[in-house]
Parts: sequence; structure tokens; C-alpha cells
Amino acid sequence: MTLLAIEQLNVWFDLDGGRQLHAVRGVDLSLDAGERVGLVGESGCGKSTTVLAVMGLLPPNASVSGRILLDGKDLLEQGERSMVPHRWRDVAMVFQGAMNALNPVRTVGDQIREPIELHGIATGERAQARVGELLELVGIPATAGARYPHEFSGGMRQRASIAMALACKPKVLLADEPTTALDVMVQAQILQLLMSLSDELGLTLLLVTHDLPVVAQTCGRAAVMYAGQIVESGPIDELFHDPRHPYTRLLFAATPDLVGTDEVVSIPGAPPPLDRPIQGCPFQPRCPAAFDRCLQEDPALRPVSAFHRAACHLNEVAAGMGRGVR
Amino acid sequence: MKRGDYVVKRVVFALITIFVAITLNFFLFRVLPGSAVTNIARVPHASPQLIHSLEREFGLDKPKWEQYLLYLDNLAHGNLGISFADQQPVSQHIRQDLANTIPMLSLGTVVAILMGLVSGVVAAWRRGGLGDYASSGVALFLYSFPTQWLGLMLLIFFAGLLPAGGMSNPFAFNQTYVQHLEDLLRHMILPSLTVALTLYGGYTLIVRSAMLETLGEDYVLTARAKGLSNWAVIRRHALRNAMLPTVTLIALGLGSIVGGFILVEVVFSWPGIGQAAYEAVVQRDYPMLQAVFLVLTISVVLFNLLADLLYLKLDPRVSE
Repeated sequence: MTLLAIEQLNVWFDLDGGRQLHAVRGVDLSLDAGERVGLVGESGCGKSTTVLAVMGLLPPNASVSGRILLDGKDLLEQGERSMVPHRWRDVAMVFQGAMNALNPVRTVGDQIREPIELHGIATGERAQARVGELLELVGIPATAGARYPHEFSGGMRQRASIAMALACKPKVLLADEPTTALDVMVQAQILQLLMSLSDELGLTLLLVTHDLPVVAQTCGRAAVMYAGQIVESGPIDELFHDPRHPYTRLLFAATPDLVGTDEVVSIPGAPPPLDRPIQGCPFQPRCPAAFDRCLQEDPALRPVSAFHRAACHLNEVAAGMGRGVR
Repeated sequence: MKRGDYVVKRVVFALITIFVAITLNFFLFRVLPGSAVTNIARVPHASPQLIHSLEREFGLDKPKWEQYLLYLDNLAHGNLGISFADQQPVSQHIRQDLANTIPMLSLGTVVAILMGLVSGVVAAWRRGGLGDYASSGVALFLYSFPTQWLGLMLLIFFAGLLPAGGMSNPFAFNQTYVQHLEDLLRHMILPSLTVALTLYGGYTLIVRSAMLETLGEDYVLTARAKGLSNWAVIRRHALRNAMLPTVTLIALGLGSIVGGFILVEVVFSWPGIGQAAYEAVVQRDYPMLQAVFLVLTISVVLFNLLADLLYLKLDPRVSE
């Protein structure tokens, strides 16, 4: 059953001089209850903007269109007002590890307790007890709640952020680069924690990252974003073994493997600037397989198998010839 | 504990600073050209004998180091010397002047801090909006006005409506305590307002920029994501962090306002320490001027110490 559905989401940012940056361009994404989905792409592709739009946390110079349905209710209907009651109660968020997401002048416990009391989950001693439970749930001793964020290591701070996100038993957890800036060991622990928590609590997880292997380890399904659009989405196995968009294929190729036999490839060029109209396929200037149609026409996201969709003209050409793109 | 160490370190540092200031204060006046008796000696018929006896009376014939030790010894006993102007103990003057200055300046400063906080926060929250332009514009305007000009303008517009100078009505007799207080407050309005307006601009700009910085921090985004109302985000998360740089700047400013408002006191004939400093300069009243300087340096050091201690209270990271 679909719990969170993003439909035709567009986000524009007003820039100085009357220009507009079209950061998210018609994104469709849906999450079933209890599912773990990855949202992958390089920096500036609009993945964080998408997540912030779901929380209603975009800066004032942003304008949004489309629908964001939580349990069938549109969160965008009345702007920020329709989102506010759902923040943290239904949809909570874990911010980037490197980010200063905890207030340095207040104790960690205090900050976890804040939403518990704000949303009327518990008060007084019961709230304090809940803080202790949450900390232990993420593997931090309950007594550490009395300490300040600067007394925590990076990994502990991220665990505390996760505990804070779970404070009101949300249905959906949005994790924006939760493991970036953590070392590999800690990264693995945090991912393990997120996975076990989502299994235990039946939490729906949207994992936003630029790190494909992280998604491959954690999620059942993933969507790949490029230049504000979703260019391919599907079950992680199919994406990995049978990518149908050249960008996805190159992303996998750009990931170093442990054995080090294959040479690491980088994708030449840079994504197109989003403050002017894009002619044709946005990936075309960097695409090794681009042909004349790619210059003219932006490919739509079309099904290539039951659950797998991709936005590439090559798939139609291939379908016409009866074989896949390779 | 670490926090205890921090307090001890700060206090010791403040004491050393005060001692150095006292020493500099002594020598500063001794290296100036001319001595206290130059002016007196300028009167016609001043014989060398008179000059010499005056020098002896003030202890100016002794070597400098001996004068310095004497000065320290006297200071330790609270003896700031005898005013050259009226032969009264300087410490008495200073005490009275401070008692006159402090209420007037405090009223102005407290008003400025409160107004500056409110308008700085509003300007930062409504960044780029009408409220921001209005409040920052007014603040910049007031910040750049010379104090004495602002005082004179207020004097021109409000004299008559409000008392134009002094601390009390010299023609009022047999006042009750309440009447006296009311009279004092009425006299305080214009000088305090001048102080408040002068400081207000600076405080607004400081608070605004500190708030803008914290509002861009990630924990503010987290706080909003938690569902806190705008006001709660400001009060519980942004303001306290914005207060860190603000407290330092305000405390630094407070140290200097004790002496910095010579102009206000002169414009409004307020018999405070600023006025006393001005008169002491005109009269070459060294002991008085020395005492005024001493009070000013000590107040700067003490307010700095206060800022350090407040910081300890506000920021848990300080003792590390």
C-alpha cells in the first residue's frame, strides 16, 4: 500500500535578477509502507530539494507545484500550514552526518525530548524515560542524554539524530546523506542501525545519497536522479544488473570495487545548468550513446519491465529491434 | 573541574590587566609635558619659592619611582589623592559622579539592549522584507549620528517639554521622596534617550547579523523539521546561539560607555563622571583625571570578565 506519494513535483528557486532555477522537474516517486527506497544522484541533482519539499522546509525563495500525498492526503494543498501538523509526527528526518544538526548549546537529551513534549507524546518523567529508551534503541547509554553534542563522536551524534527522528514514532523517515562524512566503519554501523530499525518498527525509509553501494546494501528499490528529474527507477537488482539509462550504468562503473580489477571510470562533463531551459535529453552532452533524437526530444520515463522504468530513447530503439541497451 | 579552572584563569587575568592599567595610568600622566603646577605658576608674581613649595606639597619633587610606590600605597587604601581644583578628596568626587552617571547610563543601555534585541531579531527573521529595511535603515541612521548632535537635536525639540539639563530642579524645595524621584526621572529622560538611541543602532545591527548567522545553521532547520513554531525556533534554538557573539560585543561596549558618554553629560550638564573627566582636563586636575581613567579601565576589564563568565553560562563548549 502506498504510504507516501510524490506526484509531478516541481521546485523553482527565484534567483537574483529575476532568473529562476528549476531544481526539481516533475518528480514522481512513491513509497509503500515499510519499504526502503534509495534516491541517488550527484550533488545538485535535486535530491535534497525533493526531500526538503516533502518536509515543507524549502527556503522562502522556492515555489513548489505538484502533489505530495501522505496516506492520500495532500501536504502541499495549503502550503506550509498543511504540512506542519505532520512534521516529525508522521514524517521525520535525519540530516547529513557532517551537518550541525544538533544545537551545540543544548544537551542531546533535551533535544530529543523537545518533539516528544511538543507533539504531546509524553511529558515530565515519562518523556525523560522515553528519551532514555530511544537512546538505548540506537545504542547509546541512556545517561549520555545529559551530555552536549560536542562531547559526542560523529557516529554517536548521528545515532542521536536518529533517536531524535524516532521520538514521535513517525511512519516515514527521510534520511538525507545520513552517512556522509562518517568513516567507513561508522558508516556501516549507521546503515545497519537504520536497516534494523526500519525492520523492527516497520518504518518506511527514503534514503538520499550520492553513494550507490550504500543504496544497494540498504534498499529494495531505488530512483536515480539527474538534473532535477528521475531518469531511472526500479528494484535494486534490476538497476544493478540491467541498467537501462546510460547515466545509471556510468554511475555503477564510477564506483570503485574492492578487488580493484576494473578501472574506475569517471563521467566526463557536468550536469546542465538548471536556470535556463534544457533542449532535448539533459544527459545528452555527457552521454556516450547520444544520437540525433536526444538533441531534439527529452525522453519520458517509460516502463522497461514490470517495476523498472527509464527515461532513455535508446530503450525504444532497442525495443524496436528486440534487444536491450548494452 | 575545568569550569572552575576557567573562572580562576579569567579572574587572575582580569586582576593582572587592572594592575598593568594602574601602572600605565600613573606613568601616562607623568610623561605629559607640563606639570600640575605649570598653570598655577603662570599667575603673575609666582616666585620660584612658591612653585617649589607647591611641588613639594603635591609630592612632585620626589623621584618618579617613589611617587609610583606612594601612588600604589594610597590606592590600596582607597586614597585617590586631593583634587587640584578644589582641594577635596578625589574619591568622594568619583563616588558622587558614579552615583549620578550609573542610573542614567543604565536606563539608556537597558532600553537600547531590549529595543536592539527585538528589532534585530525581527529584521533577521524578515530578512529582505519591509520590516528588515525599516529597522536596519533606522539602526544604520542612528548608529552613524554623532552622539552630541543627536543630543542637541533632542534638546532643541524637547527642551521646555522636558528639563534641558542638570539632575534636579534647583527651585524645588521640601520635596517628598517620590517627588524627588519623579523630578530625577524627568531630568533623566533626554540624556538616557540620547544614550539609548546611540547604542540602539549598533545593537540592532549586531543582533541582526548574529541572528542571520544562526538562522542559517542546520540545527535551526532541524528545529523547524521537528514541527516547532517560528517563535519557538527563535526562542529555543536561534536566539541563544545568536546571543554568544552579541553578549561579547555588548559587554565590550558597556565597559566603554561609562566613559564614552562625556559628550552626552556635557550636552545635558549631567554631573556625572564624563562631565568630571571633561572638567578635569580643562583644569589640569591630574588626581581627578587619573581617578576617572582608573574607573574607566577597571570598568572595561570588569565588563570583559563579566562577558567571559556569561559565555561560560551560555556556551557549554567554552571550558574545553
